[in-house]
Formats: sequence, structure tokens, C-alpha cells
Amino acid sequence: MVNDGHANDYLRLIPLFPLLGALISGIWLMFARKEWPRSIVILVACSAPIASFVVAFSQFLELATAKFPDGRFFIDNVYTWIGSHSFQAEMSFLFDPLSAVMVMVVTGVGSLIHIYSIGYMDDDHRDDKGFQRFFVYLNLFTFSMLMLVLGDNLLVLFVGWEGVGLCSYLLIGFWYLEDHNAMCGQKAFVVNRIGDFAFLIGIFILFWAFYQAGHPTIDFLEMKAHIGELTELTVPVPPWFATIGLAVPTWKLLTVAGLCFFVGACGKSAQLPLYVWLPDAMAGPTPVSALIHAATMVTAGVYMVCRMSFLYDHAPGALSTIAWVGGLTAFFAATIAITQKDIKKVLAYSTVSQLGYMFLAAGMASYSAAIFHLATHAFFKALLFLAAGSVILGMHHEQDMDKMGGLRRKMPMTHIVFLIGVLAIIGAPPLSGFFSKDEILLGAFLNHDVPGAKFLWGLALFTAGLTSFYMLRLYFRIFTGPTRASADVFSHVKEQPAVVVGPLVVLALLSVFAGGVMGFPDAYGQWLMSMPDSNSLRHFLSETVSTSEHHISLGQELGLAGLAVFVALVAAGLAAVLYFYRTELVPGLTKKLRHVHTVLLNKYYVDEFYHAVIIKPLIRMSDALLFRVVDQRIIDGAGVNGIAKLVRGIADNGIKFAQTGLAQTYVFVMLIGGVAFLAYLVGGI
Amino acid sequence: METSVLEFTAPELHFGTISPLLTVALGAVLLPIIEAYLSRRKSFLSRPVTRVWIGFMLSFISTIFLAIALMLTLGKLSVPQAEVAFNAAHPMIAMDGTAHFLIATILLSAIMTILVSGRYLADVGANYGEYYALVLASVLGMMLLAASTNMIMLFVSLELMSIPIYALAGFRRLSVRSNESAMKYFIIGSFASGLMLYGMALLYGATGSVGLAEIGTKFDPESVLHLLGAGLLLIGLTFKIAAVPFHQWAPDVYEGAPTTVSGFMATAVKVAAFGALFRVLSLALQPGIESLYGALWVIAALSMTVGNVMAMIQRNVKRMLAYSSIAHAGYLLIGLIVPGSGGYSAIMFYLLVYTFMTIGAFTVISVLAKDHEDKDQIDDLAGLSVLRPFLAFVMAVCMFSLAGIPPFAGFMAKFQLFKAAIQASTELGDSSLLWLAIIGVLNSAVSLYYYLRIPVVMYMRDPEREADPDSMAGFERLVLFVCAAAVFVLGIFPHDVFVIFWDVDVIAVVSEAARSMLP
Amino acid sequence: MTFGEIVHLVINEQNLFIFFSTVAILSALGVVLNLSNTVYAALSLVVSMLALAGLFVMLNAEFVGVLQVMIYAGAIVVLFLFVVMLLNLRGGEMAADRQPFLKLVGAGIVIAATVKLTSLLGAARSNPSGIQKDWMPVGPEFGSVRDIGLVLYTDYLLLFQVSGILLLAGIVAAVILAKQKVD
Repeated sequence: MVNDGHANDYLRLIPLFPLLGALISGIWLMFARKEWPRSIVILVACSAPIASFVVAFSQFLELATAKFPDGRFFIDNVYTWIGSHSFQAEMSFLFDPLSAVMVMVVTGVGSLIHIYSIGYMDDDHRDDKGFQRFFVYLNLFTFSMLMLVLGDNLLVLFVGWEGVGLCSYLLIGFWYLEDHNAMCGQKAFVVNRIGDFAFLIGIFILFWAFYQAGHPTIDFLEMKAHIGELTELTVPVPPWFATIGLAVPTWKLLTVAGLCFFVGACGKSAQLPLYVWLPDAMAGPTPVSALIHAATMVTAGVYMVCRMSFLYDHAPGALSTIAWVGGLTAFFAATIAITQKDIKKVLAYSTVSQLGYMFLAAGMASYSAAIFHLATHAFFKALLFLAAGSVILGMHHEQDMDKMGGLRRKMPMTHIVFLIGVLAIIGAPPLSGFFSKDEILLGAFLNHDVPGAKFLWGLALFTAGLTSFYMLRLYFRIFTGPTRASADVFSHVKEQPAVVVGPLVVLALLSVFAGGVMGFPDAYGQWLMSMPDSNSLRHFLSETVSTSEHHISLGQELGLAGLAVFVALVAAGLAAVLYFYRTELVPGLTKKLRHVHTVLLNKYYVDEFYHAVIIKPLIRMSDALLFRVVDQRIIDGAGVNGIAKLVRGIADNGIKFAQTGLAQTYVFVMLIGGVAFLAYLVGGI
Repeated sequence: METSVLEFTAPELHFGTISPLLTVALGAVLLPIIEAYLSRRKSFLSRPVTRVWIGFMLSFISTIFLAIALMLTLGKLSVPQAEVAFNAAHPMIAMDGTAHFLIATILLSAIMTILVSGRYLADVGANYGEYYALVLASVLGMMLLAASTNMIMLFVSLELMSIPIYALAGFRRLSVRSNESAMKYFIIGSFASGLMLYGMALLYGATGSVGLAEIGTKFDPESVLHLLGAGLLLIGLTFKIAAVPFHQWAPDVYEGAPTTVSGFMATAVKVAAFGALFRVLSLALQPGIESLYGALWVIAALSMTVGNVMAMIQRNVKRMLAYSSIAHAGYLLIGLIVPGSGGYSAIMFYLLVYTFMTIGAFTVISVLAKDHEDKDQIDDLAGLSVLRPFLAFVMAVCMFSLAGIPPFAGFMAKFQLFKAAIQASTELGDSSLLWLAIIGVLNSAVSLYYYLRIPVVMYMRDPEREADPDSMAGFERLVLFVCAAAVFVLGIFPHDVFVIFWDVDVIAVVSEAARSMLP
Repeated sequence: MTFGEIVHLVINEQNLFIFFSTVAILSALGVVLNLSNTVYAALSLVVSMLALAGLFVMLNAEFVGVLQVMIYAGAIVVLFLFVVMLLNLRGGEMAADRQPFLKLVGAGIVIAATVKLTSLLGAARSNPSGIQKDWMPVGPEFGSVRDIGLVLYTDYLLLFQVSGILLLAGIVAAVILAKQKVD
């Protein structure tokens, strides 16, 4: 691309630092038999994301302040990755408002979690080589995630997409010596593969469509420019469809492609029905849960949908599907979270639920709201996870909240930041979650394109109440009341060191203030400070993703917000009654609702259902038919081994005849070959 | 008789053109003298002179000569057109882009070989200073061969390349296998040279010229005499690249020769011989090329198939690599059959890649040698990943690359070659090239069987012996690292491989060079 | 018919060519077939080389002819004879015939190829397309030492130098393979 003010060579540095960190440290680990001293590991591993953050921040300022006549974005074209005939894939990075926000979140939260991990992993003595290995994976993850959000075309994005999947697998099964952890890693990987498969098909369909239209490209900007030419395309149907009397379907190609991408997003971002891996992913170390399974990787699906918003704008059917899946997932996961006992499981289901909110927003075409919630969620959910990690460390790796309680005095700092995280997620004004959730609800309320938008709005509102309930339940059960831990454990609980608490404080500050700073609604801004464009994130993003302009009166806005706060307050009150003031009511209530409770406790039996309907038959068929018959008999027996045996037989006999080791024979064979060669040439044998 | 002495007119000479050649020639001439000087002294600069020290000094000096030559060549690489000839009235060689690229590849191979030879030779008890002089003389022959445009030059440089190699193959004088290897190579090589010389004589007799380009203007594909000459000439050259059916010496010779020499033979000789094949086919035999395609097609298909099939049953790594080099000669021959420059440029890239991966593999084997013995059975590699992880890693990379698995360079090279064949076949509507590409792909699949066996043995079997003390010299580490790195880098960034050191796009260089070579 | 004419009838260019080539071929066959006595084989080689020298002289290449006699007939065959006598091999020891079958097949192929080649070349002679006929006329000095020297030091200068290095390499190779001391 010619230099038109968009070229920016610094972008490549952003993913380069973590890559170097992973490579240097990883290659050493591969060949040397022992680890570096911990101080060097820390230096290498932590400086990488921080350096990336510094570069990203400087470029972010550039981007926000520079003047662009034709769209606000930077491009860094590193090299031509694949060049073939009509198809060209560049290794290039795109830094527009959307990816800028993502990069800031990834490097910022990533840096904090790297620092936190120093303290968290230092406590771990399960594996000698674990410390350095952990940071290699973490750096590799940061690199992959940055490739994902910076990629200028679908292929680079896909590299990052697969990279984060791999790192997630490696980190979930980080303590692989315990079988359960390894199994959880596998589960995450396999479920993700299902989504990735659909994602790949989406890429193929889209490329094919653009190829048909005469623009063979997978570059985001080019695709965006030419997407209008594809709206009329339908899925090609083989001619025999009609001849055998089947109705010829007329599916719009863009809708099909959009759905394929969304299935990919469902896998990565744990939406119905592919959410099952995320709760199990909590088997990994807690910083991993915070970074990968709350703040960044799982939001990749949301990012991708927003990145492809130019496609979804032309595929209303796909968009409605996204909204419904998101809304239902939000509700569904929140109900499960009410009954879980493991504090990380509660947070995991909460994450699934919040991701559902984001997809709901994306499906309602308010992409900026989705990204806004993505960013605030990254702050407060990382905060919650890290604080939970601090609790777990303090309790000596105890995660069951039935064995906690009364930690408020023992861990004062952790208690405060955890409370801030809870308040942020339930949407207490003026914390960040309040603003972002509000914008989502507003978008759903005002939407007229999605069938049943009003119902989804109601569901989301109700889910906000559920969120409030289960989060406060979590808080009360951990920090208040008499302790249920054994006296021995409880007496050893103490506050964690500064390297753990420090990042928590930073994240807590972000959770409190980031929402108001980034996305103060225009209506309030006009009212309080006479600033009509106080929702800076929204205006910033509007240059990349389409944002529907909804003008809304102050009264409406305030009314909706008040309603949401009211619902949350009611639910919070209920939680306070049940888990703080009158805890003796809980067993009776549980007994009364035992049928519902059992179903929820067992997560609607979805895992069992999958196991019975999909996994078991699959294993049986694979074993009985594919392995025993196809693989062992046909492929191995007749195919590989048979051919190998045959070839070896021929070669063995050939050796006896020709490769005698005698120079005379060699010359003789040469002679015959030469004569044959010449005879062939002159054409007379 | 009354003749004036003064009718002699001195030819106009351009020494700049052949500066890399002169550098290597100077080295080849000086090295025996330096060796003789050093070995007569008891001490040099107040340190005692030992054989190992002399070997080190000589390898150092010869590396300097080769490195200077390499620098000079790389400096000329960016210009694909031929430079003004050394002796403009009678140009015997064409120093064009193709020649420079091939010469650079040859020099790379020679430098890597020399760097890893010192410790190995001392280890197997063949630490004679003549080694380096012979390598340099052979390199000079190769450089000339890759550039020669004249039949006499072709023959002389072929011999200058071969004769030192014969001696190098027998360099382990106490080893029966090494002696046998040298003897066999010498006898069969002389036979092949004889056939080639006969072909040249026929061509000269038929056309009355020795310049390849002039022969090209007179070549008549209808004439039996011309075809016989061409055929014999091609036999001589395909012998050097060990193509079936002129391949049988290769396994015995590679196995018996010192391991470093085997690596050198497998790479540099092949590069030079392909240079000669380029010239012969594109200049002299161009009018009759159609009638040669069929014969070359058969040779290519046979080489791929026989090489791969025979490699499957080998137990000795060096023998296996010998058969693999036969198979690779077959792949490379595909490029010769593709009309136009596409095939030639694909071959040049392939040769560069092949040099790195083959030298890497042979170097690993040479490093393993211990107590005057090669450890070159496949079983000797068992558990290498535990004993010597770095060696195992480099070996595995080389094997994956030789098998043509992405993202290693071997894949990129094969891809370019097959792509050229398939493109040409669709453009010409000629399915025979497509079939050749299909045979090539199938053969690549077969080759997985024996290439992957090495990593399997190294990584999945338990070591059968104690860990050796890690006796690797720094140079060996360096060469292994460079090979592995090059295999990665050429595979992932084939276009901008030298961007860091040199602003060179390899693919563009080879395609420019190939295009400029064709008339 | 004068004596001179008779001599000329017998010893003309064509007859000389036939004579020298026949001798060369027959003595070359003698080298190959003389398995029982190696000294005879070496002496047959001398005869063959002398006949070849005759052919060179007929082609105005006196210098090459003389070299042929000096180097091949003189130096190389003498070397062969020394080796044969020093090794003192008997015929039976030398020709350990391990693959008699291949030898027969090989002989058959060579004969068949020779016959085919001859017929092909004969056909090419009757239809001499593509065969160089208008050779450059050569001067009276052609083939003399002086002319060869001139060409060697001007047109073929590079080649001449390379040949020098080739000889050096050959010497080094021979020394390293043959030198006594093993350390």
C-alpha cells in the first residue's frame, strides 16, 4: 500500500515483543536442562507485554489525534505472506479504533496479570520447570491475541485465533500431571475445534464470494469496500436438487457466511451450545482464568463479530440469531451460577453470561456497546478472578465457598477490591459496569430489527437481577459471617504480598472509573456538563463499526437506568437477606425448590446430555468401525503396511540383483541404461 | 624459417569478471605451500606446531579465501546479465546471474563443509593439510563448470571438480571402505567422463564448433550424429548428479567417503552439474530440446522412484541420504523439462535449500563420529533427543524439510518446482508434465516413510548407550544452527530471506537469472 | 605404372586411414581380451596408441601425434608395465570372474549397439544433413607447436591456466593417496 498517512511501521513491534519473549525463553527451555533464575524469567516475561503496552499506547494517542481524510486507521504491511496468482495474503496489521481498544485492553490487562502471576506462580511447587514454562505460554498467548486483534485480513486473524486456542489448551492443562486438568484442556480444545471448523468454512465461503465478484481478497478494508456487491448472491445449489423434486432453497450467501463465523465465535466465546468448555477451563492457574478465560481470549468472538460488522449489516438473519443466542446464553448461564459452590465456577458462568450480554448487544447492531462492555468486563472480571485467586492462595488452594466465610478481616485489601468488582458487575452507579450494561439494555430497548427485541430486553433486565443475586451471594459467602473453614486453615490466612495486591488495586481503580471516562452517555453529558459527545468510546468506534444513531431523551435514559438499578437492588436485597441476615432460611428454601435446585446444580445436565448423545456413540463408532475395521484392517493392513511390504520386497530383490557393490556391475548397469537412453533418443531400438 | 615473434597480439583481459575464481585459485595454489611451510617448523609465533593446529590454521585460511570469493560473488548477484567476458574474444565462461547464484551456493556449501571438517578429520585420523587444497581446487572446478559455455571448458572444469573429489572420497586412508569408495568413484567416473568426451567429439565433428551457443545454431534434431552426441553428453552430466540409471556409485561412495566429504559431494557437485546442464540444454541443445524431453522425463521419473524406494530399506543413514539425493536429483530434473525460465529458477532455489538441509544432516552424522568410527547406523541415533538434544533437533528439522513438510524450506522448494511443472502443463496443454508432477508428489509421500523414521528413532526410542561428552566444536554448532535457521527462514520468508543482512529477494534473483540465461 | 604410382596406389590417404584404424581397433581389442598375460595387454595398448598417433598425423596434427607417442606410448604404458611387473600377477588371480552371466549379456549388448550404431551412422553418411562440411581452411602452419602455442596463450588462456591447476590438484591428490607416512 502506498504511504498515504496510514503506514505505520511501529505496529509490528506490538506483537513482536511477546513473541521474542516467548521465543528466547522457550528455546532456552527446549535445549537447556534447567530453568533460568526466577528473576531473569520475570524480567524477560514481564517486560514484553509492558513494552507492547507502551508502544500501543503511543500509537493509540497518534491514532486518536491524527487527522485522516479517509478513515481513521494505521496499517503496517510487514511482508507478503502468501502470494499466488490472484490471491494475496499480506502479513500486515491494522490499527483502527476497534483494534486499538482491543490492543489496549489486551496489553494493559495482560501486563497487570503478568505481574500478578509472579506472586501467584511463585507459590506453586508442583513442577520444577513450571515457572518459566508458564511465562513462555503466557507470552505466547499475548502474541497470539495481538495477532488476532491486529490482523489486517482473515488469515492473520485466523492464525491468532488458532494460536490463542493452542495457548488456552496448554495453560488449562498446565498442571498436566493431574489427569483431570489434562482432560479439561482437551475438552476446551475439541469444543473449540468445532467452532474453528465453521469459522474456516466461513472464510472459504467469503473468499469464494469475493472471488466470484471479481475482488479476490480477504483483507478487511477491501472486503468492507466491496461487500455491497455480494448482497444478492445466494448459496449455489447443485442442479440435481431440483431434478429429484426437492425445493430449491434460496439462502443468502452472506447470511450463511455470517452464521458460520458466528458458530466459530460461539466456540471461542463460550456461547450456547458450545459453552461447556469454559467452566472446565477453570482447572488452569487462576491468572490464566483471568487473562484468557475472562478478559481477552473469550472476547475474541465478540471482537470478530464487530470486526465483521460490515458483513452482518447485510445479513440481518445472522444478526438476529446472534442476539437471541446471546440473550439466552446470558440468562441460562446466570441461572446456573446461582447454585454453584466453587468460586471459580461461579465466576466462569458469570463470564459466559456477560459474554452473552456482549453478543446480545452485537446482535442488536450496537457494536460499540458490545465493545464497551467487553472493555469494562475485562477490567472487573479480571479483578474478580485475581481477587478470587488471592482468596484461593490465602486459603491454601481451597475453592469451595462452603469452606470459607469471614475473610473480611483477614484479607482487608482483597475484600475491598472484590467488593468493588461485585458492585461493578451488578451495575451499581457510577461504576463502569453500570454504564456499559446500561448501553446494552438501551440498545436492546430501542431495536426494531430483531424479532422479539422487547422480549430479549426483558430477559436481559431479569438476568441483571440474577447477576446481582449470585454475585452478592458469592461475596457474602466468602467474606462475611462466621467462618466455615477449619480452625487450622483459618488461622493461617493472611493478606497477600504487594505483587499480588498491586495489580488488584489498579484493576479496581479501572473498574470504578473506566466506564464513566470511556462511555459517559451523551444524554447525561448534555445534562450535567453540557457536553453532547461525552460518550467518547462510542464516537471513537463509530469510525469503524456502524453505530445506529439513537436520539433519546434524558428522561427515557434515566428511566431505563433507574429500572435496571432497581431490579439489581431488589435482587441484591434478596441475596443480603438469604446470605447475610437470615442464613438459616437457605436450607429450607433449597429443600422446597429442590427439583429446580438439582437441575441447576447439575447445570441442566448438558454435559451428561452431550456425553450420551454425541460423545459415547462417536467413541463407539470410532472404535468399532473406524479403528478396528477401517484403520487397522483397511488402511494399516492393506494400505500402509501392505504397500510398504510390497515396496520393500521389490527393493530387497532389486538390491540382490543390481546393488552388488562391484564396480563392474555398476558400469554394466550404466552401460545398459546408456544404451537404452541413446536408443530412445535416436528412436531406433 | 622466417617468422616474426611480434605477430602475437595479447588478448584483452578483464580480471574483475573472474575475481571470485581468481581468489579460490589463489587459495588452491597457496595452501599446499603454506602447509609445507608450517609442517616443517617446530614452533610458530612461539607456540608448538601440532597437526591439529596446522589443520585448524589451514581450515581458517581456506575459509577466508572462500569467504572473500563469496563476498565478491554476492556483490555481483544483483545483476542478472552476464558481465563482460574475461577474454572477450573467446568467452569460455559466462559470469551471469545464474552462474553467480550457483557459485554462491557452491561456496556456501564449501565453507560449511570446511568449517565442520577440522574436528571430524582429527577424530577419524585423517588430519592431512591437503584436504583443504583439494576442496578449494574442486570448488574452482565447480565454479567454472557452473559458468562454462564451451565444451572444452566444460570438460576440463568437470575433471578439475572430480579429481580432487575422488581423492577426498578416499581421504581416510586407513579405512577400507573409504579406499573402496574412492576407487569405485574414480573408475566409474572415468567411464562416464569417457562417454561424455565421446559425445563432445561427435558434436564437434558434426557441427565444427566447441562453443555451446554456436553448436546451438547448428544443432539438427533430425541427425542421428547430433542426437548421439547430445545423449552421450547428457549421460556424462546426469552421472554427476547421480540420476538413475547412472546412480549406483552414489550409495557406496557416500557411505565410504568421510562424512563431511559426502555432504560436500551431495550438494556442491550437484549444484555445479546442474549449472552445466542449464547451459548445455539452454544453449547447445535448445533446437532439439523437444526430442530430449522424453528421455529426460523417463530419467526424472526413474530417479525419483528408485531413489525413494531404495532409501526405504536402508539401515545406514549415509546410504539413506545417498538414495535420498538420487530422489532429489529426480525432483530437480523436473525443472529441466519445464520449458522457459520457470523451471530453471525453481531448480536454483531448490538447490540452495537442498544444500542447507543436506549439509545439516551430514554434519549431524559427522559430529556423532567417535573413536575413529562413524556412528552412522539408524540405530545409532536412538534416543538422540535425550543424549544430544540440539543435534536431534537439527536432524529432525533437516528430515522434515527433506520430506517437504511445511513450513520448512523443503516444502517451499518442492512447491515451486511442482508449481512450475503444473503451470507449464496447463499452458502448453501437455499432460506429461502434469504426470511428472503427480509422480513427484506421490514420491514425496513415499519419502515420508524413511525421513520420518529418523525423528521417530531419535525422539521415541530410548538411548542404547551412555551420553557422550559433548565434544562439538564451535564451528559445528554454528553450521548446524545456520542450516536449521536457513531451513526455517527460507521456508517461511522465501522472498525476503536476506532482508536483514542483504536486500535480496531470492526468488526474484533466481527468476531474473534464469530469464537472462535463456536466449 | 611407375613405382611411385604403385606406392601411391597402395599408400594413399584412404588406405592409410583404413590401416591405422584397423590396427587401432584390433590392438584395443587385444588389450581387453588378453586376460592371461597383462604384459601383452599393455604392449597391445602401445600399438593402439601408435596407430592413433598415425591418425593424428594424417589430420595435420603432428604435435598431438608426437605427444600421443611420448606420453601415452612412452610414459603411461611404461608405468603400467612397471606396476604389472611389481605386482607380479598371474592371469587367473586377476580375473576373478564373479558374474559370467552379466559378461555375456554385456558383450551381446555392446555388439548389438555397435552394429546398430554403425548402420545408423552409415545411414547418416548417405544423408548427411546437419553434418559440418565447410570446415575452415587451415594454414600451412596448422598443427605446429607455434600455432598451438599462440592459441593456447591467447584464445584459450583461461583454459590453459585452469589445466595447470588441474594438474596441481592431480599431483596433490596422488601425493595424499600414495604417501607413506601415516600419522
